[in-house]
Amino acid sequence: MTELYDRYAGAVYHLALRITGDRGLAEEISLDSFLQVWRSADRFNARIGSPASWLFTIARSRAIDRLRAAGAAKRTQIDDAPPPTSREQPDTLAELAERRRLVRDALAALSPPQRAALELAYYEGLSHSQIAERLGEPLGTVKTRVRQAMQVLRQLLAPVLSTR
Amino acid sequence: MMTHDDMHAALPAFALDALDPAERSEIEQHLAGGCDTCRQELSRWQEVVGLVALADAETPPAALKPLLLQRARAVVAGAPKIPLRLIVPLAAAATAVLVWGAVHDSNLRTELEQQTQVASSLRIDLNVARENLKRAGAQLAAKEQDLAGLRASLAAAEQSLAILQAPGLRMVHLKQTPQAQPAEAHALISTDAHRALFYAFDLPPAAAGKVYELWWITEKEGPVNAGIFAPDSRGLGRIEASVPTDAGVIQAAAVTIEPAGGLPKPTGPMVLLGNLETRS
Repeated sequence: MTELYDRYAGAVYHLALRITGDRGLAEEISLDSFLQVWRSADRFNARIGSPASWLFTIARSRAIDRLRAAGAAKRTQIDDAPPPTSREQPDTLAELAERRRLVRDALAALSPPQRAALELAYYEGLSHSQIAERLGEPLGTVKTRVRQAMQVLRQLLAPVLSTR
Repeated sequence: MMTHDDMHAALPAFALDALDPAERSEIEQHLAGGCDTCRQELSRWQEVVGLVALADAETPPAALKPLLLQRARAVVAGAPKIPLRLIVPLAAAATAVLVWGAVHDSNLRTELEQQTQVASSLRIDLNVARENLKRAGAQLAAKEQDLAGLRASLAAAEQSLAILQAPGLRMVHLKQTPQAQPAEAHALISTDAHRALFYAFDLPPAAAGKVYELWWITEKEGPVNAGIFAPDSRGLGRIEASVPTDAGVIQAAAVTIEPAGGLPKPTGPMVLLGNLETRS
């Protein structure tokens, strides 16, 4: 628990803060996310690794829910999705740093329109239609950009994904 | 109506939660219907989505970690105090469990087993924590003992230094007497502080039931007892002795072998002797 916190609290907090823009909310979301993961700690044992990805998914979902809470109807929650079956989590801080570098490189490899569409979905929780409206682009174009962006990420993150 | 290929292609956006409601609900139904291919593919996309958060980090407030541990302990205690603001998200989470239960019903079937595993892993954590605490306690005790030893050494060193720093310091070198102990000694005597440091070297161990006794040979009272000692394994004997104030000038220092416990006046053979030079 403490180890997971020490490794990932910074990323979780940053994620929640970037999505909600509110430090108090970001703290609360961080707490809730770690507790949620911790309550299901047994699911990380042995066969199942990569709690980080699951943790971030929970944090993002909670943060986006807060963001949407004002208006939109509740959408799918993936809070309690079981963690992906995967390889061991990184053993060393060096491995963690390497994964971080890989993620940054992958994001940098996206074209600006791809990244813009992805970020609106990722950090603002916007749907395809909402992104299209925000960017003034056709819906089909936005769908393609989001899909392509995700494909680029998956390809470049392949070395650290538990399942290719 | 989406084809299977359409749905497969929409999984990245589904993992991002970026689909519009109609498409999303179609895919949810499809997953609930039991398409293993799409479930597996979705879990890969979810992992990609999760990893994106690794790109940046910002240190959270320091108070957050203790708060988290406190909450975690409350959960372990079995009577968590759930703040109002947590109830809504928890209720939503419970709903989500139902949604995902349809997709991953095996998790529901094994819920009891998983809870048992949680309890078991918590017990292990607790035992590890107890062990750590015990070890830390032992380390602390050892450190305290070290500290006490160091304090004692320091106090002894300070006393020695006080004698050496006091004015009126005299030194006497004691040499072996005809009783043929291959040893020597010296004494540093501060007549102003009325204290002295005595060191003997290369002394063999005293015979069973015997000790070495140091004497000041004084002008008025003759030999005055200055303490007994036993040399250590290296043959080193050490005493910090008092110096008589009313017995007149110390003329010499001597060591004799006496019965265990020492005597008020020397009776045994003299093994070391040193005369003090008269102060000019």
